[in-house]
Amino acid sequence: MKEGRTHEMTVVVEAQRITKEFPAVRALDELTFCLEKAVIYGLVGENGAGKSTLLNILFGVFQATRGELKVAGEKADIRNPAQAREQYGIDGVFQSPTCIPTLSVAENMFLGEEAAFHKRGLIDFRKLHDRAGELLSAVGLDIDVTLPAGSLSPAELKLVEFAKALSHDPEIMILDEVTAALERDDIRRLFEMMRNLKREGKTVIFVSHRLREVLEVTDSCLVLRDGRLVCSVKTHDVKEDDLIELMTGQRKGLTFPERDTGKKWEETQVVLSARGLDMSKPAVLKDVDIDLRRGEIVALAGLRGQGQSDLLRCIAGLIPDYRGRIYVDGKEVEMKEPASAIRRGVVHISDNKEKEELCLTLSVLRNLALAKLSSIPRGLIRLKKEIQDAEAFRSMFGIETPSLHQQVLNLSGGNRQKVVLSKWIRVKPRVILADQPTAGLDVGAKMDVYRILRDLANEGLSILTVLTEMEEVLNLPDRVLVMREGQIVRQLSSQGLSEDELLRSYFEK
Amino acid sequence: MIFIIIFVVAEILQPKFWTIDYLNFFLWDLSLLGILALAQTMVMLSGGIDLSTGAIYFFSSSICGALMGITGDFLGPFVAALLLGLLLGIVNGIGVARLRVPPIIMTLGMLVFLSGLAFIVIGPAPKGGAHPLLIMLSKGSTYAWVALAIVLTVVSERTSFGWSVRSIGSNPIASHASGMNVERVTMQVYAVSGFLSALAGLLYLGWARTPYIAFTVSAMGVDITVRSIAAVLIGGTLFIGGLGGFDRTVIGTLITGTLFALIRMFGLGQEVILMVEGVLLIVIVYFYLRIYYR
Amino acid sequence: MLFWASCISVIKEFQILYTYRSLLLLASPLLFAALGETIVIISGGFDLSVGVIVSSATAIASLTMYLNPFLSIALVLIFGAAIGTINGLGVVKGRIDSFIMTLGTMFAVNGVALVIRPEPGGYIDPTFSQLILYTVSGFPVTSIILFVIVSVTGVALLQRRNFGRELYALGGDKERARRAGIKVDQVEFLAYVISGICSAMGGLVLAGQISTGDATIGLPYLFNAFIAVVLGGTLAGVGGFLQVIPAVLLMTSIPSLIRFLEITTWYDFVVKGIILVAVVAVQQRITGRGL
Repeated sequence: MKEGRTHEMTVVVEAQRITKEFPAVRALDELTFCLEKAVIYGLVGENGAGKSTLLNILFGVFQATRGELKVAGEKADIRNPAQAREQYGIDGVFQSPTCIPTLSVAENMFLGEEAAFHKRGLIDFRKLHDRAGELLSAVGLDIDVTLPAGSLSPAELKLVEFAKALSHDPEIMILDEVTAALERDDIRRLFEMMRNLKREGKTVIFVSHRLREVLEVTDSCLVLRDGRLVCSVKTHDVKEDDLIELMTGQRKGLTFPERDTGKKWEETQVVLSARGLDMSKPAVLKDVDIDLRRGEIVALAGLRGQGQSDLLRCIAGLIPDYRGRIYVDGKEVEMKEPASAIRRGVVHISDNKEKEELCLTLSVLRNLALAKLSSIPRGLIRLKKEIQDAEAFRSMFGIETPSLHQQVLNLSGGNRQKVVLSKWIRVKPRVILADQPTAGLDVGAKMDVYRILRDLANEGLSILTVLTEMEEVLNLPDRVLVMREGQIVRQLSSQGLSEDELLRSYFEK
Repeated sequence: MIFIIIFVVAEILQPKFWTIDYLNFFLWDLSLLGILALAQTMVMLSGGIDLSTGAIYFFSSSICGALMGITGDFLGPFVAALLLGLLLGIVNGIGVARLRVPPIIMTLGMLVFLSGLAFIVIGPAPKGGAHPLLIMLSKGSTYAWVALAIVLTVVSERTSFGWSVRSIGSNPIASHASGMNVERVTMQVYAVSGFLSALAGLLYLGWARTPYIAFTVSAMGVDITVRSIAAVLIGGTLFIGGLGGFDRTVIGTLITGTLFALIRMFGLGQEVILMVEGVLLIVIVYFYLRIYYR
Repeated sequence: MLFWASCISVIKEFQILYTYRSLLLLASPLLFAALGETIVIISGGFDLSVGVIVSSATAIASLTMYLNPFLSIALVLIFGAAIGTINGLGVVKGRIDSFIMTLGTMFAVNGVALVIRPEPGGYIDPTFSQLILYTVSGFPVTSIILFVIVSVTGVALLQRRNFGRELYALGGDKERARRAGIKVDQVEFLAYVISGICSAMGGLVLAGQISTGDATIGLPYLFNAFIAVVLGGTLAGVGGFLQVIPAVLLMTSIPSLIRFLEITTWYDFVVKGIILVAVVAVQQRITGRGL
């Protein structure tokens, strides 16, 4: 039937054993696949499966450690996004925004390409604005293009980026989690445009945690699991449950501290609770209720970016603009700034250690004192005591550093995390809000952290932690709260928790 | 360190340098700049900058001189001038910490403001004089400088205030997230800077005996302010990171001073000094950046 | 934008009070310097060497003009470009903070200027001087022309050329600009070179106006230029030369205004200082941004 067409003519991307290794983890493991023209692909997988990494490699943000990539039949060495766009026709909308907030929408859309609008050597703004307006109408966005990009809503920004990508007429269009911010009409229009692209012979890669959407619009699905390609299936051959089954991961061989799955938690005292937490900036939280009891470890699970971190930050006082109530020991507290939380024994460990927890250029010793500084009597630091405490933590947690005066900058990720934990434990907290405490750590460090957390819980601390890896969620906490789009959608206890059930709750049907 | 090299070179080239008398004079001459540099160090450790130190220096010294001329007292004018410096520093602090005006602009504004204010309040030919007690105290400027350096180093290393200052300089976000009152510490930093600048100004008065306002091209005290910043930078306390320290500033001041003196001794003009300082600044900072970041 | 309106209205006041003709004359060198500073500040840095380049320009001109006025002009411009290049290299390649880097060059160039012209003096070609000061029935024609050219070029460059847009992008969010494919290093480097050239040109105009070379005359230009830029609502990634222009006029006219109002001359500093801080504080409130 179609024997006239050779393999090369239909294949636009060919990947051979693509592997990507980071210092602590292998994100992609010998991925081999082909992408054809005029097909809409869905890319699915849970956290850490490697989706983002693969897309970043295609777009030139990373390079593969091993393996070969061919685009349009030729070997491709994509070193940066500009090259990906111009040379290989790969473009799209990604999770980290590219718009510069102080420039106008129109300027952002044509940044770097203003030459096309030159009239007598100067940028013709009318032409620029008109063209921008045209492109935006095509995607259904009707806004004033002279507004600064920083004033747009997340939905509008996504559409702008989509329009921008479209204007480059890429051969391969990548859409990474764009639908979550959009309205239903926009989504419908988006799908229509995706089908248009397919008709024009382009390739589309669509990533979404809403399986329904994936099943609706894609022709074929690539399922990733632990960095490997599990399989590539035709969409009309599968149902949601099949996909979820395919995504189910395998054990990595981590061991977890024992926990008491039979404990009657209802009888334990509630230490922290929140009712009706709600906000729209910087992220969405919708009417969240939560209770935290003494000695429990509760995990906030779900796919990344569903509001888990924001919930923690809100409780920690890092987001003063919230609606709802927070209670510590039954008394209502206004969490307007971190100090209010810390004073009541509620501490927060950020997922962005380098930015929010550590003074990188300072020594381990000084970093350990950070949280205590405001409460030192008479303002005099007893150096001996500081060193003593530091030594104690060092041996207790196994912090590897040649000396306590070493700059934290020089410590590995795992050791940095231990420093952060130590810093907070020093102020004798009652609640620890830990945001992805094991992110980026190697296996050994991870297990150390699990042990520390469980020990602390056994001593009576309450821990609310955001966990992204399936195995952790299944084995570490006493209770799991699954979040999706800013809401807690399910509560599961550690008793009889199955991966299948958990994963199911991550994805929307 | 480099300083030792320079010192040795100085000795070789100009044996006169090593006489006790000269050294005494040299250090004493440098002490005022040194105190200003210490003030600047405190601000820079917190991640900011204070362009108004020289202005506060001259302003408070002139006010003190005027007051001393009028009342003939020592204590009143002395304390008043110091409080003035403190107050001006607090104003800087409010601008930076509460109003979130970038330090460069806030202290620049203060500098310009004081320049004008000085002439209005005091006039181009300020009257007044220095109380004999002040003149006597001023002879011991070197000791004041050294004492301050020691005190500040202790504060920086052994008090929670000192540690807070450095952590704010290194990462204000993390410091805030750790429960520190960043605003309050920042205000205190600028207040101290103002106070020290005023103190240096008083010692200056004791030496000059009559108030004087060094109007270096349209703003007051710019020359000495910039020189003190250079000394701090050369000493290794940069705008980033909460790294550096008062001890290093002392060395930086000494290096600057030595160079200055050396060049003067060779009869070379101020121009050469400036050029050398400029190049030196860039070169040294470049190397420091290399060292600090891996 | 309301800011622009208030600035213009203040200027309009002056026009009633006294001659705006001499205002343009006086303001021209500052305008050049302010353009250079504007460009660097939008890119997210500082250029402290502006003042000393102005001084050096007058010094070099006064030294070389007796040879050949055109050669002299060329030398001055090359000098400005050279200093700008040094600044640019230090900031972009050496990754030295722009404040420190330009502070260093400020020192160094100041020294150079003093070596070249220790005392004010020297020779400025009278024809050149006449050209700069050329007046027709009270209207400083050349100044007006220069003023207009600089204004138009400055605004056009920043608003209507790729370079300008990229400059704003760089100042707004350097990393995102890089990801968007902009050659961030090149743009930043050019900003400093252009600043150097602008300051040099300003110095040339000044030399023509005062007919001497003076190595110390430049420092006020740094202050005034900087304050004018900030008053003009221009910080990293925001603002523009259009707003800086009235600020330049404002800065130039404050001394005269104060004289007119018969207040002591030095009030102008007080006023400038307060304005500076007040304006920035208000700006911070409105935009919630940092420098």
